[in-house]
Amino acid sequence: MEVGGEDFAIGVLISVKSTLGDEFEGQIVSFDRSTNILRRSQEGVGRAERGERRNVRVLKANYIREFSVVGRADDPLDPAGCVLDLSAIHAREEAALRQAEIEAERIGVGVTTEAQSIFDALSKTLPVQWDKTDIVVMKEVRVCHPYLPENVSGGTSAANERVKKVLDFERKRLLVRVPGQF
Amino acid sequence: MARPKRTKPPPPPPAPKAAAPSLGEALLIATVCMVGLPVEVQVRDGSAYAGVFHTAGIDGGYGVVLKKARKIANGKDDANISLGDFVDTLVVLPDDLVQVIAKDFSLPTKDVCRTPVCDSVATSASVKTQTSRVKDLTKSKTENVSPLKQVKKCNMPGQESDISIGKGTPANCNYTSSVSPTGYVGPHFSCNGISSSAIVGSRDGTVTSSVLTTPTVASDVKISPPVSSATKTVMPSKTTAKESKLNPCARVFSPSFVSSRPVLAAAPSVDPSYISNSVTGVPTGVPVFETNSVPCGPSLSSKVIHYSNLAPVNYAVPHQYIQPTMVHNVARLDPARIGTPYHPMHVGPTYISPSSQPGAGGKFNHVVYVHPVSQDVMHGTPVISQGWSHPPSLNTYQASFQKFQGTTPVYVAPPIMATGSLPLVVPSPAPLVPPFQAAARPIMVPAASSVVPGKYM
Repeated sequence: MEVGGEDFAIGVLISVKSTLGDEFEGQIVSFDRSTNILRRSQEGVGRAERGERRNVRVLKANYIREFSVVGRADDPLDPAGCVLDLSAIHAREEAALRQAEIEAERIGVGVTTEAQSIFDALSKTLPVQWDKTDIVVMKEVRVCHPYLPENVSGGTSAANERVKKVLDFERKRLLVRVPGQF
Repeated sequence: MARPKRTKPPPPPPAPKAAAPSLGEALLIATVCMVGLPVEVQVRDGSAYAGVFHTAGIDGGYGVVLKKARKIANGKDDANISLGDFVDTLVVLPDDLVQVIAKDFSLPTKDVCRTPVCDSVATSASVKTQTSRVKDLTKSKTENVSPLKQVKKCNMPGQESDISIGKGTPANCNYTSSVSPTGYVGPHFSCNGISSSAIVGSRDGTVTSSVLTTPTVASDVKISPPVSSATKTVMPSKTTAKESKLNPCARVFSPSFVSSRPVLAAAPSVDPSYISNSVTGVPTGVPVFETNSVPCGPSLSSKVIHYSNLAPVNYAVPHQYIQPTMVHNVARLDPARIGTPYHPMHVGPTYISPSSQPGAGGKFNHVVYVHPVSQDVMHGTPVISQGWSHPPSLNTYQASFQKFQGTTPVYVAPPIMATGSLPLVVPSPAPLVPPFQAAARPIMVPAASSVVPGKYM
């Protein structure tokens, strides 16, 4: 739905239905006519305070199927009063990238869902990492497919036994949580 | 008696034609505030990706770039990236972007944005300089409001940062770059040799497949056409060594931009982040990478994306790339990294030719972006023909790139050209590496003709 000649007023509370089937309400933060980008803050409408965290959507107005005005509130964003700490923003980005990479390293490539579940369960109590399709625990104990206690090898006897116990415990817990999956 | 000649001062260079403001201040502020936040992006075909918001293109539309993106919802069209796959850098073109959702977002206010970490931002002078440029680029308004305000002047010698709204996308997008804590601006690509990237976008308004990610071998490469390069150069970023959790010898690549001189080019510069599989041979510029060698040995891996139908085009190397850079000690393949979600590859030392002739002795590998296009509109028209203008005072968005060398196939990408007057010379690949043009592998580019009316979240 084209916005046409209408301008989205800043601060207006609207309920939007997008062409992709999404429905949401929120307050218009900004509308850029040249790019037809509508920026809305979602949730907490009418009760949001400055500094309160909310979900923000940057939506192209081209994909608005229909909308209705719910109410009106003050402009939630004051461009004149905005202060941006670029160094903090960049630091936040770097931290987010590191965290994303750490999370990505937790995901095995070419492993089954069961293996990933076992890995996630082991990672709660033990330092684990993927070595292709093998789970390496504490950098010395290796758990190979099919990730049974008898597939645990390497490391000292104490570490090996510990991994076997934890693996057995986690497999039983996963079996109880999702019966029949394994 | 001869009169002393009065030497007239050389005429000042023609001021770059200020581009018309293309982004409201509020949206610009919000965009900058979203940098570093985990966001979800929905594209035209209904696919959804989650990643870290890295930068956005604000000229010629609103496009975004995500880092460490992961597909979280399938769309209507067949995509080369399956659900759950990771992409190091995902570029969503304006034509394909539907919405960006940032959760737990705090609107920038005086009480929110100021952080105790660094009250002093080493961007005072440059910020003010950029502020004026930002004002020129944003919609003209009577009020004299600067969207970006300096928090506090920081007395950090040797550091400067720019809030550069870079332009370097095939669709005349200007991309904002955040300022590093060290004061350098530029997209940072800290990773263990990760260089995978993908573009979700369409050319000529048609969206087809989404993203292609390939494992180790880079074969077919299609590069988006050069975009306007009349942008301000991004400051060189301080390389930060980061050791992988799993691989202490892993290297971190981050772009280093050789100069902050503005780049004015007659022809649009190439956005290194945009490589279209529908465009034949449009090179994209890439920042120079510097790596921090680790004493235990080099171990760099990066993902290479297949491209096809790469054809030489005219482009010019932006000034910021005209500087030789050596990447050292990155030649050993770390088998442990193979098969990671980011499909690493080992990288070898490369040399970037300082000459303006691209590819003259230089070898480049950079993040390649596959630009999904419709099968119906496969033609050789460069993406640049879409008319992405370039604000002269904005920095070109420069994606990271990796340099590869070694026994494994190496993808060698041409450098970014700031002008279109120089021929594109694809650097010769490593001796043991087949040219990526030769190992062309077609990229599946399904057509996207309509939007998927399904909810993805």
